[in-house]
Amino acid sequence: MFSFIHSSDLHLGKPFGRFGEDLRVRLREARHQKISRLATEARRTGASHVLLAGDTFDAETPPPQILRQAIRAFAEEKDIIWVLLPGNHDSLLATELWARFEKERPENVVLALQEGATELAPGVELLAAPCPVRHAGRDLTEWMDRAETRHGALRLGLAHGPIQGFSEEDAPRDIIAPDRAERARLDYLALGDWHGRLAVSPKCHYPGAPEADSFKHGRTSCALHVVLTASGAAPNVTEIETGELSWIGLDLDFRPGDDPRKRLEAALPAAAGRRDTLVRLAARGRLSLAERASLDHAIVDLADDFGSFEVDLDRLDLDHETADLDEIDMRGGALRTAAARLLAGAEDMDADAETRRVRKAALARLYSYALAARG
Amino acid sequence: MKIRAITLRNVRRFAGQTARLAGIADGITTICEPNESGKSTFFDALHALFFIDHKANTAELRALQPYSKGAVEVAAEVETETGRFRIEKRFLGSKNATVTDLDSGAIVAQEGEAEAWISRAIGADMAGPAGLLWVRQGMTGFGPDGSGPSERKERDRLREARQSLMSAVAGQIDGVTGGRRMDTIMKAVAADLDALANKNLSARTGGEWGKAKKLVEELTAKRDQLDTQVNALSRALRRRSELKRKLDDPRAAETDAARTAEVARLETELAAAEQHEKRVSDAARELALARLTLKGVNDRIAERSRQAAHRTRLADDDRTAAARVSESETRAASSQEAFAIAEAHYTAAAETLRQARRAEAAAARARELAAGARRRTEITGLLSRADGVEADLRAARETLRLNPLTAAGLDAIEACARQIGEAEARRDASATTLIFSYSGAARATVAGVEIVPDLALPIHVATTVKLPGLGQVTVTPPAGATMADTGALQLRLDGLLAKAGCADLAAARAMARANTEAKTAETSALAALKALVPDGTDELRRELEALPLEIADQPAKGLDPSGPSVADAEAAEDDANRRLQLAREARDRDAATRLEARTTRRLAEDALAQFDRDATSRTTVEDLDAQRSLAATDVEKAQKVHADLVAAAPATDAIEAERDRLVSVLQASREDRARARDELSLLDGEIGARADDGVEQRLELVRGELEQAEARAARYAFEVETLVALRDELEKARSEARDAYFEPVKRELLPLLAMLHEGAELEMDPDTMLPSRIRRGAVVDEIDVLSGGATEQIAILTRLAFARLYARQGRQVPVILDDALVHSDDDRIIRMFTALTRISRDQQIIVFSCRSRAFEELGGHRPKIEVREGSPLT
Repeated sequence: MFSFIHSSDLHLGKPFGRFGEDLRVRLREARHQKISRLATEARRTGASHVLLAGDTFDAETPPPQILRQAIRAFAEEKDIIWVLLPGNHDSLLATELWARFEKERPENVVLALQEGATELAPGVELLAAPCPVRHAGRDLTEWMDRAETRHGALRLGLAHGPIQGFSEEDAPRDIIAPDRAERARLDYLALGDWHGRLAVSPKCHYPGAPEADSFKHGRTSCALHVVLTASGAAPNVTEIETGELSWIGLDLDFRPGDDPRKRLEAALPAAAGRRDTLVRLAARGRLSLAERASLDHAIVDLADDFGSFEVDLDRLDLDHETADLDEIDMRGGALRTAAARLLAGAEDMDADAETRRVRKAALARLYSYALAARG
Repeated sequence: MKIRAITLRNVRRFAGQTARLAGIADGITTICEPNESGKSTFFDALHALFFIDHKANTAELRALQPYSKGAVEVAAEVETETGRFRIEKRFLGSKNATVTDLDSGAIVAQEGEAEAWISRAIGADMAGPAGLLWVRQGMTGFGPDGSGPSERKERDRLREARQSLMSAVAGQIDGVTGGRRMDTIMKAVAADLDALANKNLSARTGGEWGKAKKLVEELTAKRDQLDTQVNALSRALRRRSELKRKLDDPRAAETDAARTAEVARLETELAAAEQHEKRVSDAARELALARLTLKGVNDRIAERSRQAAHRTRLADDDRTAAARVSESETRAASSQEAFAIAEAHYTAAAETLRQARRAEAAAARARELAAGARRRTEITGLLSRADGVEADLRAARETLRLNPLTAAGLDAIEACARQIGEAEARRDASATTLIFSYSGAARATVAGVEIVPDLALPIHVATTVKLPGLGQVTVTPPAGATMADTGALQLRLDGLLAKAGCADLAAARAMARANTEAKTAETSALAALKALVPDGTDELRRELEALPLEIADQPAKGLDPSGPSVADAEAAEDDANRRLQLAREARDRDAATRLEARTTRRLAEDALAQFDRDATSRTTVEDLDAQRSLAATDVEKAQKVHADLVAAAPATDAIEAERDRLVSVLQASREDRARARDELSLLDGEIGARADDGVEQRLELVRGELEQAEARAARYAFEVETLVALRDELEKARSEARDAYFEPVKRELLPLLAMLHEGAELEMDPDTMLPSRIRRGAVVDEIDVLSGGATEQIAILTRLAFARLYARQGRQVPVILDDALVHSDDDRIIRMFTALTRISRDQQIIVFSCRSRAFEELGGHRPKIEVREGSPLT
């Protein structure tokens, strides 16, 4: 039996420049903390090894302190054997990175820098397929089909790349055969690259990044605890939650009559966890001007609760209600005329989308001004 | 409502009187009366009747009272849609209001009801059409000027009246144009827009949009810079990978090894080729040697022939040398003999010359001694005379020493003596004098000296004169007449004399004389000495000591005074010497010739002997012929061997070329690898530096920041676009609303305005509800800046337009003009009359004027004011 933790895509040192400085620091630190977190989980589950299936570092030349601190963190967990595989972000082309790592490599770290099979533990052969460059242009695991290992040894594949065109930066030629584990008689193929959790087959898994870095993958971030009982036997794979910050992509479809504030609050996490949550709200559907104003106010009221709160209301259309225009000007005067024209412009399908968007925003703005002027 | 008659009682100038204006028609009614006839009284009274409660006690009402006070009564007969009525009000006393149906004579309403009836008749919601439609005397514009509270109140009231009318026609203005709410919103839009953008809608520097755009620019520049660095890093990483692959490529090593082995093989081939070449070279050398041997034999055969001829020449040379030896020896003996003779002749001539020179020297010495004796005598004489002159000089100098006073010194002494004399004369002349005349024997004395009688005795100092038998008199000269001057001069004279060593002036004069004489003697002596011994006596004495003391005229011993002269002796000696030299040269030359002949003879003998000795060891001619045959055979053999080897020689050049090519390739390969290693080393440094700098992460960071900044800038740009769209839409809507709002009044006003200003347009002010600007063609003028006449005309036309609006509302209210059009010129006033006439077709217009001639052209009914004393209103 061989038990290990499978993780990937730590992207240590990822800068997260589009966020504010405080959040950037938290996001980077959360990544670094994953090393100790994975070690803790390894001890808890009795795993002797942690396999990192590529993209441990975000760049080919991470800043020296990122590399040094990572090495120190790996060394700190001395009872755990770490296996690091170069991914597309930290490929073998990153000679400086791996040369420096090798120079200071702790004894409990194995750098899988060579393509081929090596004995990872007694009775366990590691078939590693490091990325030679950012885009190899070929299936790097193809050779595993022909790789010879000792009879009866567990064949553990370790690779980085997409199995379909879902990777952020993949090209079709880079795709790993989804049935590689079966073709190459692997007992387990530990993959990295996809930042969300994905079980390709019973013997082939993506754990996803242990700490999310986008709104793309809705699920909670995790690592995998894998137990290989015998050669040819199905592995026992257990998900272990590791994420510290939550990335929530809200796609809310509003309809006239909705209470936008209530719907928004219902979709958001409880107040206690909001600081550790990043939200991207994509609203669509239609709302009256009053409802739209209510949504705007709700967003303003709630946004500061969260680590980040991004809003995309471009697909949220206005619902034409007389009462809304009455709120602006019920006497049919110039304000009403302006509002009506803006509404007409917002709904004029002969106009280009940008013009409609501007008119819609102008109408919403007029509504807000009118409310404020009314006091 | 139309007014038909107006009656006043006890109003202003009509104190205790009743004034009545009747016969007011439908259209224009013109009341032309001179000033102070009460036209404005009618106007004000009518205003009070319609708009002031009869119970009121306002200043306006009190202003209607005459000086005699009392109740003011005003009545008007009016015609409405329902009939003819009489409205009466009594103000300020027994206050009353009544409305009476003129047809029935019944009182329709009283007091409060009467007020309500009046209000309804003129339109309660119109808030004072009188102000709007009635023009008081002196009010030429749209409303009362001035900034007092009453003017402001009146203006507000008029504005409200206009607004009320306009609202009745076109709705509430606030409702139409958005009012304050619109203003607030537009201000908010403008403020928000202004915070972000300049007037030209570019981003405002320092505004949020401007800051966002600036940040985008900065981050873009930073991103581009980092992008360049990261690309360079990426290239460096790829290049390093390529180089490492290249350096680690085993195939390259294998290829180089194969090339090295091939080079070694070629080197072996080349060594073998070199060996063969050596053999060829050896064969060539052997061939050359054989040819040389053959040539040597041939040379020796030729040499043999030359030696025979040489032996003959040697024997001939020996004989010739022997003959030359004999001849030279004979000549040498002869020349030796001639030399001995010449040498004897020279010795004799030299002795003769020595004798002649000794004789000449002795004669010269004798001449020198005689000259010395003459000089001695001369010097001795000079020295003797010089000694006498020097004695005179010493005596003169002694005199000078004893009489040092010079003429200049004497002059000083004498000058001082003169000054003393002069001072004493001045003292005596100014001094007090005593003259004694004695009558008896007694004599006065001073210091024991008797004073001479009748002789002035000067008194220079306090002097006591003793008078025998009488006592004494002390005479004191006046202050200032002292002895000080003469005393000082005397002291100076004494000092000068003492310094000269003279007792008195006479002695000084004698000494000065002696001094002068001694100086003359000294000068004479020095001149004599210089003439006698210019260089001094010491020089003469040294010359005297140097002169010879020998006695002259003694002939030299052993000399023959009659012998040849030195010149002759020297000539003879020179000739003898020349001959001796010639003899010596001949002797030496002949000796050399003899030696040369002897040497040549010996050499010839030696050569011949040597040749003869060598002849015994020389090869014979037969031997030489045999040797030549043998050598020729050797040459043939060697030629064949060499030719065979040359034919079998390998292609050394080709082997060398191939080897060189491979060596070059290997060298290039090694250099290429060395360069690769160097480049790798440089790349290591570059990559290390960039890696230390974390450029990739910085780039990603900046990209993220830029993404955020761009999004932020885009949001602001969108917000500006939104605000501009909103602002434009609001402005457009408000402008259109205003136009629509004022459309009714403009529709009424413009045809009237066209009578004055054809094609003119008016802009209405939404605040004042009045025309604010007039557009005539391309010229736009503010109403405020127009002339008084033009303003007045537009104001009246505006009232007429409002009156038309009232009429269209079904509310007929008369237009009343009190002394209006005072500023209008003749042409304009006629046009205004035309406008009034046009309006009067369905509008009652009452015009009060004092300008009867000017208003003749207005036409209309022209009733007169009737005044009766004390008559009641009815």
